[in-house]
Amino acid sequence: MTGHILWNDRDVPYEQGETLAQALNRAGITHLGTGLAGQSRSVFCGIGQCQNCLVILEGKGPCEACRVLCADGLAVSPVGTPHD
Amino acid sequence: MTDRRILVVGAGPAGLSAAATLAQAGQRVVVVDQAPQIGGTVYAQNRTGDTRPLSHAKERRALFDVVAAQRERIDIHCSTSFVGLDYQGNALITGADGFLFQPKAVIMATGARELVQPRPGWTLPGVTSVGALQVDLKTAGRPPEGRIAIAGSGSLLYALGAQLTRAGKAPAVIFDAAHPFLHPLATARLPLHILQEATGFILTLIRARVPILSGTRILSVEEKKGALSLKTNHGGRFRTVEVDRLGLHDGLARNDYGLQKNPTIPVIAAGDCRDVLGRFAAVKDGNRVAAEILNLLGTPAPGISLTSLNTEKAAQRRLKSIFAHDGCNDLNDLPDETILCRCENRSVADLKALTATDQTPRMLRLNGRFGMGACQGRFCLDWVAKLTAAEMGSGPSRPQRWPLRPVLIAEILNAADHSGNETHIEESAKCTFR
Ligand SMILES: Cc1cc2nc3c(=O)[nH]c(=O)nc-3n(C[C@H](O)[C@H](O)[C@H](O)COP(=O)(O)OP(=O)(O)OC[C@H]3O[C@@H](n4cnc5c(N)ncnc54)[C@H](O)[C@@H]3O)c2cc1C
Ligand code: FES
Repeated sequence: MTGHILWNDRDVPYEQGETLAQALNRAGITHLGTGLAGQSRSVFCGIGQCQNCLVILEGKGPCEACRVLCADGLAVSPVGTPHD
Repeated sequence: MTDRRILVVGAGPAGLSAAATLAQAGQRVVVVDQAPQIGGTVYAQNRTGDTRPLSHAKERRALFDVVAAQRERIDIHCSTSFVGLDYQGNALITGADGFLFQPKAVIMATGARELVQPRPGWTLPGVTSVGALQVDLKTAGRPPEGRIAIAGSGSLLYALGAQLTRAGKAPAVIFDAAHPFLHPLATARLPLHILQEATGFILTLIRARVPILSGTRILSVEEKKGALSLKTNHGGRFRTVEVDRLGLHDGLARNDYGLQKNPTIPVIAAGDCRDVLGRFAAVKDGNRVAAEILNLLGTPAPGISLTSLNTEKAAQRRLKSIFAHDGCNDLNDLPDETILCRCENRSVADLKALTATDQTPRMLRLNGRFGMGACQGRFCLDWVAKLTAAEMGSGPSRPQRWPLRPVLIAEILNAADHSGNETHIEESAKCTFR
């Protein structure tokens, strides 16, 4: 199963069995947003331990991009915006 | 006989072998793993539908076969996390399958924590742990684009280097902080299976002419024109190297998160989360802990010989000495702006400001937020403890608190209530045994 996920309304293709992080990284998107404390979001541990790859899954809330598998039409966006 | 099941958290070698041993003894087991497939870290499966043989194919097959043979008694829920256990012994499970139930015992087989020493720039996108690159390679079946550098210390640097090379993408360079090749005597005394695997890695790397620079440490990483610029130090000689991806790794550590004692049911750790002894020991440790649980439950348990566990323990001690280095001293020279806590964006300067005013280890957490972020200190507390050892001895204690990982209120509300234990819980994600 291949298809597309939506990253900030941009179509990102994925291949069978890819996590959100794998599809995004392959599309050259390694910066996954900026956390509330100003920390850069990106894949770090890759196995769901560090929470550095949190993204927002539309309709569900925050999830680890390194753990969630892609599904066609899944809308994903970066977490929050930094404090002023 | 009640119908209560035993919960196994983690479907790596330790969890799977524990589940199989319990099932063989007639117990019903619920296995949960937060990853999309079973196999754990080392036997992670290729999910692309690619059917070429995977690394460790034979070992993986042997392990999966014993589990498959007991499938009737073992439920497996992938993409599903164990979140916590209340004082009455109710386990909360969330993810693809969300439910609450009352196991009669819990085996924690959650695997090791990877250690990565902080350096300026280690939070940049493109810088990951070596484990992250490795799991990506195993599950996606293809290496990332661009030039890859691997750095830090430990045997995993060479494992990843060789695996990337075999997948057609030799790393640009391996920087090893230690001098592993200067210990022929200790190396010669490693068990044969470890020696053979290590020799295979090194030969692969030599044939592909991968530069291996031992005694070399990465001082800092900067982003320059879309690439990563690494500043390295080899005994006082400084160099700058440009790559696209950097994998960092400074060893593996036990992982005692979630190991709180419970007043109602036994909770026991198995495998690398208890003690990092490697994949062969993890299988054995799973058998051992399963037998321990069976004994506690008063049912007949198989006898488990501990000889191989002791052999692996001695081997891991030897490996540690082979990869020993003084790179931890770099911690004391880290520039003030270096991030220590990735979750809360807390820097060396923040830590220094706290230690300058009389703080207790507890206050380092409450005021400094070190260890209070979403990863619960898994990636900063070791270093904070080292940096504050002079001022406060042990450093901040590890938080022992539920939930084990961040959880949405909706997930708690939506968890199906199976605390009566009478029904079978549907597995929503299809579990493959490839
Ligand atoms: C990043 C990394 C890379 C490694 N690479 C190698 C290698 O190349 N070769 C080698 O021999 N050894 C490697 N090791 C060591 C190897 O993983 C272990 O020796 C072996 O896999 C340990 O088995 P285990 O069953 O104890 O843990 P793992 O195999 O790590 O399995 C633990 C499982 O628990 C799951 N889990 C954790 N927390 C939860 C939770 N709260 N809820 C649900 N599930 C959870 C994880 O998703 C994981 O699948 C590596 C270790 C790490 C951490
Ligand atoms: S990269 Fe660490 S949780 Fe996803």
